[in-house]
Amino acid sequence: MKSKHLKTVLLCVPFSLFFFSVQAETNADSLYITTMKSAVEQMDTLTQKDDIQLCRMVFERVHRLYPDDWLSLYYVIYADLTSFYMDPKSANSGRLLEESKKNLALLKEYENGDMSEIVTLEGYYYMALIVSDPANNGRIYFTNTISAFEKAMELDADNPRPVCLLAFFEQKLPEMLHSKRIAKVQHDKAKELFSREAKDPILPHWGERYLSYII
Amino acid sequence: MVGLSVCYCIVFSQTMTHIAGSVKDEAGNPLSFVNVYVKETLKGAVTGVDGSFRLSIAAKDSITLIASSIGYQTFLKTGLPDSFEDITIVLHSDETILNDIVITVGSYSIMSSSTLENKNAVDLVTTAGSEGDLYKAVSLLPGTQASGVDGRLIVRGGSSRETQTYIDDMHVLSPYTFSSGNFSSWGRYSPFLFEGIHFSTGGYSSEYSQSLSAVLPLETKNVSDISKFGVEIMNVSIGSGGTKAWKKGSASFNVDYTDLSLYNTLFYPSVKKNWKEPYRKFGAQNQLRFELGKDTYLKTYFAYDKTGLNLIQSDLPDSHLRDFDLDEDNAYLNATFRKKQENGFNWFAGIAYSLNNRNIRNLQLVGDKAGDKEQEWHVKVKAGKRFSNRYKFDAGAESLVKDKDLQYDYHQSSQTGYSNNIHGVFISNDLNLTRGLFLNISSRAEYAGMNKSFAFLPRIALGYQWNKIHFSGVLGRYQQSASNDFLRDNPKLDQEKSLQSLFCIYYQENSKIYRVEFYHKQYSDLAHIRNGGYVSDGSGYSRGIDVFFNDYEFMKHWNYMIAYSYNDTKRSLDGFPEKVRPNYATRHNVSFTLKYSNFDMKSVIGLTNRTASGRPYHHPDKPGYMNSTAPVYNSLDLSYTFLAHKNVIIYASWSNIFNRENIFNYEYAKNTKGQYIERPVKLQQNQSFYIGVFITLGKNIAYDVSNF
Repeated sequence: MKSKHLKTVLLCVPFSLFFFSVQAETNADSLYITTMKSAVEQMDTLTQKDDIQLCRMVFERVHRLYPDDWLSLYYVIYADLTSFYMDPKSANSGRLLEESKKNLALLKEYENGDMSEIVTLEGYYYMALIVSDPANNGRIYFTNTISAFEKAMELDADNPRPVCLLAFFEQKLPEMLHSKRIAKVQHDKAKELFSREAKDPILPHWGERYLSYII
Repeated sequence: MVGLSVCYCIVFSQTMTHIAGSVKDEAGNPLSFVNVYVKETLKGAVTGVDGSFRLSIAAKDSITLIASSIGYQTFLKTGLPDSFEDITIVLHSDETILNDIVITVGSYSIMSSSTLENKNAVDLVTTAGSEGDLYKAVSLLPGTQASGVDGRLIVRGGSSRETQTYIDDMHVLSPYTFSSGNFSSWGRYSPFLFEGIHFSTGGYSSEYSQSLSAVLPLETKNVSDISKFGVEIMNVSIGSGGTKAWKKGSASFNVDYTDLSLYNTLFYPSVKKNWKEPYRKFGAQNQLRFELGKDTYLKTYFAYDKTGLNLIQSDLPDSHLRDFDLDEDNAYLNATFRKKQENGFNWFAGIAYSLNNRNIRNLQLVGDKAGDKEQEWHVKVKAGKRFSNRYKFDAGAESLVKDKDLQYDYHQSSQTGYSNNIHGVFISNDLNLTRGLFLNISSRAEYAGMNKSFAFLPRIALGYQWNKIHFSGVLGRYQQSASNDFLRDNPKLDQEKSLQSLFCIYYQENSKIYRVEFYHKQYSDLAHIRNGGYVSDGSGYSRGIDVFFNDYEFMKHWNYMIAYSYNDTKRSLDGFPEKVRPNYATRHNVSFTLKYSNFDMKSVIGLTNRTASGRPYHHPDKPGYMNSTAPVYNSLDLSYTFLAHKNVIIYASWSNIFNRENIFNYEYAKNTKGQYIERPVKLQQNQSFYIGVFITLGKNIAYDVSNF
């Protein structure tokens, strides 16, 4: 009887260890996926600055818990920049830009990050600098903005965000600064890329709303 | 298995603890929208308008509570869950992080690498009166005085040699092109080469030495990630250059050639006859930049220029003519290494070599020949470490080794020369005493090889920020070797010294900047002439007030700046038996700069008016010393920039549009009858007119005329 109990215990120990370890890992992954999926999807629908900042807090907590994860940090920056665009003259707009600059420098160090997405975000940041002071920063960051979006397109030709943002940016420029790119072609290309994009819940998939501004 | 499941449930079921409290700022005001959460979990809450929060967590062991908000330092506290049941969290503004310390006194960042105050070189040169020259642009700031005929920078009653220029923290021996008599010099280095231009009119860091009045540190780019090629055609010069960028580095080059013959023919045919050979200069610059790793950069910068001219000079008293014939070679090379580590350490090492070799025929007398060769090595290392948000320490060491050889031939040959070696160590302590209150205590120990003297040069700076007003003050001691002309005859002269005290009030709101600065410089050990010999027991003072107002958005498209400087100074000078106001020091200086930038019209129009009270000069027939005053200086300058295309900029500048004859001084010589003959000292040309086309080719280039 004793040996039977012992045998059961001996069988249970490795099983239990396996069960706990699998459970713990699964819990961790599912927690990350569930939280990020919810936050990323929510982010796409938000139109108020306060709501965006609330969502940013979730990304910040995720990043603190998963410091090796580039996407949560990416979305922290995206949330700050989008908050900036919603009210560029607000009292904390300078701080949002400073915070984004600091976090972008950190994000660029992630080797597992999607460089096309990261460089797109960098272009989005330069565009914000121009919005903050168009008369002065327009001349200074024009090159950086366009180069960032073009580089992002080179890195991933299927990424719709740089195509869309570049079209949006060029549309806002004085005519003399327009490139040889034809706006309509870029609009259609962005539209097509967005429609083709696999809407992975834990990858960036924002930007489609910019299409409505330019088409 | 049932037992196992029960066991699992027991392990994972814990009592819920409620965490609650409020978040305030240092003044006790509730902070809303603060992210409060528990480390290692996603459990969190957001504070309401009253700063309160509440969350529940299942934990028995100690936890770490985090509170974060943009603009504040993140709060972390570890303890048992019970200890957080009613917690008050105070968040400190991240303005108190040491990194943000700015002692505004004496300091102007014209172009800065900081994100939000970036101005590029185009902004700088489109200011009327700058004429595309770095030093002329800087001379529109308060604290500076209207340049003399030599066109050099004069700061707060100090002579032009009291201001030193640095490129990437390495000293530049001869930053100006040659000037003589009524022919003005220019800066050797184009503003388009630099990413940052920081001008300090006094109270500068202990890192900078051998300067009694001001320093002008210039920063080149660490990274240039765009390949481009540019051409510039002006009515006085042509130039071309470009940058080739690759993944972890870039190489830039530029060549330019200046020739004033066409300019003189077109605009000043009457003075063309004075030039046997027009001013000609060939220049070449190169920079290599390597990104060796994260925040690790190696850069080299090389510049060479060769200047030649032959100008007929007329000597007093008999208007005897002399062909002043110059041939000058100037070279500058520096290499710098910078590394910023994640653990807060910063490292810097640099080496620079400057060479200036001038050969002049008919310098003082027809038939004489003078050679002046000057070279300098500068080696510097420095390191810094941020130990906390409250304290940062920097230290460094440097050596300046300068050799000067002079030769003068007139019937017989004479040779002289000397070596001037300066070795220094410096330390700097930045302390954040409390919110908004910053203190810097630094010092420099310096050994001067020429007279084997050792000096201790302390500096203390205090800054306090109260809302949008910034108060700062500096008290510091600085020293500089006597001028080359004096050292040539007496190499044992002491280091000249200045004790500088400055106080600044700075206020910025939106686009408006108001600034008032008071200063007092006490000079000692100044070299001057006594009984026909050079001695080091001179003294003097320079004191005054600078006022600055800038509104860069006072109306749509309009930007204006007003700078006023009052200066009162006297010092031991040359052979005067009493202290006098030097000829280069003007008591009142006012500049008014207006700029209209309209992108729709593709135009930037600049207007600058500069007025300075008359310069003192010595009239030998009148009693006293420096007993007369030259007429008031005034110049109204205009510039126009047309953005013809994103790759093409057309620039035109017209200085002194009313053609006012500005007189800087008078020179005297006795004729054969024993009477003094007087001649005003003025520029050969009252006006200057420049027009140029800048074309830059490259992907995504717009309004970037820099080839670097």
